[in-house]
Amino acid sequence: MKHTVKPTDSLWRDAVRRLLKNKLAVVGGGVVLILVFIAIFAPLIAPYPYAEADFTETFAPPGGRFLLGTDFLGRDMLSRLLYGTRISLTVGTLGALFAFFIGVLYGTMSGYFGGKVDNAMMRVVDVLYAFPSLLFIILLMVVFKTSFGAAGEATRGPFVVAIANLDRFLGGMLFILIGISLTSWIGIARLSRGMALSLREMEFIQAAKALGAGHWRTIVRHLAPNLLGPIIVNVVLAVPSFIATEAFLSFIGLGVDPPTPSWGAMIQDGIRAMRSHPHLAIYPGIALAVTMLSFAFLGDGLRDALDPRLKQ
Amino acid sequence: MLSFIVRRVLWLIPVLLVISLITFFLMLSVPGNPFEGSGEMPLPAATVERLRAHYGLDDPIFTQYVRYMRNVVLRWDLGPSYAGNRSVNEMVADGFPISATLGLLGLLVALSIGIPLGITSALNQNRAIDHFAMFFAMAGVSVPAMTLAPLMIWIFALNLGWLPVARWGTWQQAIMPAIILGLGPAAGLARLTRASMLQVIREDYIRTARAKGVPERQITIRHALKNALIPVITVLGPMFAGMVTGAVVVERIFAIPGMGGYFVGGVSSRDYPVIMGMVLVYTFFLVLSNLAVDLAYAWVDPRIRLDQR
Repeated sequence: MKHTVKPTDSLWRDAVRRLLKNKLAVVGGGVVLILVFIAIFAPLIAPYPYAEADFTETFAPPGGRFLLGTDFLGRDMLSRLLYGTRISLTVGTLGALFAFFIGVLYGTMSGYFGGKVDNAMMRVVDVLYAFPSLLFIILLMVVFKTSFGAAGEATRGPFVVAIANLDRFLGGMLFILIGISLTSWIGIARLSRGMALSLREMEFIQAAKALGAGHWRTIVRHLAPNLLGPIIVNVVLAVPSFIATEAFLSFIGLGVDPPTPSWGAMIQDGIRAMRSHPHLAIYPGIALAVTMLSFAFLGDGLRDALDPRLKQ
Repeated sequence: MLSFIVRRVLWLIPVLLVISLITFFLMLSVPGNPFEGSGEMPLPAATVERLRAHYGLDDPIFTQYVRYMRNVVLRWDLGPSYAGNRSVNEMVADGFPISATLGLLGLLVALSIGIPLGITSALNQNRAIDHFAMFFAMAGVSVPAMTLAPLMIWIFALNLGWLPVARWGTWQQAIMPAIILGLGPAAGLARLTRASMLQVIREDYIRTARAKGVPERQITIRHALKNALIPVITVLGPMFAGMVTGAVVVERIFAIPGMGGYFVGGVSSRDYPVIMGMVLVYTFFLVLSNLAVDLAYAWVDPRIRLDQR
């Protein structure tokens, strides 16, 4: 017997059609595409290298040689803003990806097996859920930064050194990603579990089992695909919060290592010169808000497209 | 109801214990120690040793944890800060009232903008005012304090000169921080109130009330709003937690001497007791506000307590 996937095809095509009719979502998606383009081609677009400091041109006003002016070290704002896209988008999308895989797997397993397994797995989630995730990430960052930081260079094994080097190569992004991934899956796990609990009683799951499908196959082939719609929506809607978390960490000095440009770190630098050069804090703030808004519009459009019933 | 409350309160104990345990072990698992300094002016080895002994850092981690928790639970003593001669208790006593005031003002802004906006939106579904309100709500959710604060300072303090740029003490100085802190949650509340309200006004009992000839105004307030606000209560807990983040940013940008500043300062200088103390106080407070929200929810909607496992 041949497997056909035709029926699911039309569901997704339908969703795409509805998505394209939503103006805000199209605008959001368009801006996201532009941002992705900027992130990839930043070295080609940016007029200056992001770390190039010109000490004769500190706090240059916008216009002239520096389109958006320079910061307190005489670095070109426009170039730093363009490069900043990389950090935000990488953290946002990779964070969402991790949250998605870990969360869906954990949640569906818990909901699917039910009973004692579910109880044990959910107690873990409950405690982590009660732990304010931001405080948890801050703690993790403190631990990472000091464990893998410059201190105690001699006592570390090759593995630790390799990780520390990788993090330095990525401008401090590795640990932000790990920190976000370790906390972000919890919400998705709760959502998937709830849905798996209700889905596992459905006939098609019973049918799959009756036909001899194992646990793994039932979860991956039958349960997970049916959770996909709402979870994708939630994951996309969570991207802005990961971007905000990165900006926040860099803002309080626990995020990227200088001179890596992150919008959060740039705002922090800008605030110090707020009275005399307010634009230095305002530009990166706008970049941050535009990015978060685009993902929010896109996510909202996706929700309406994937589940028209929700639209009121 | 009583058993529900007791169960909920008892659940707090393991949660707080586990969180304090995680925090403590995470911090002390870090190699090196807080007295090594940043390398500019290293302390003499003998001094470091004496300091470590003084603060009991050479004991096994678990011994340290038990000692710390005993002090916290029995004497409400969060220990000394490693930097300077102030205790963490003093820092909390200084910072907490300010942070709490800021938080409450933010909450006030959120409630007084969010809920009326949501109701107006729902009652004018799909009209221009609804679209406008929901656009504002969506934008409000996604524009972080980090963006809003510099913009507002630039407009209202630097250009118009209506409000002071920063600091804390007078009511004028509280206006911008409270609005910035409350705007995001206000947007979230508006969306939720609208959705909830739309669901309720389609219920049968609303139609019944209308059929009986109850005035429209009374239907909106007495019958619809009262029920529509029930789900809104549930998000107040997480919302308050979210405001903690906003508060740290706002406190920093406006140079407000709240708990956020002490926390960030403690983090950057690896001052264990300060980090630990702040995490405990924040968590305790958040867990408590979640509990209050849960209890309020169970109180207004009896179905919830019966549903509990």
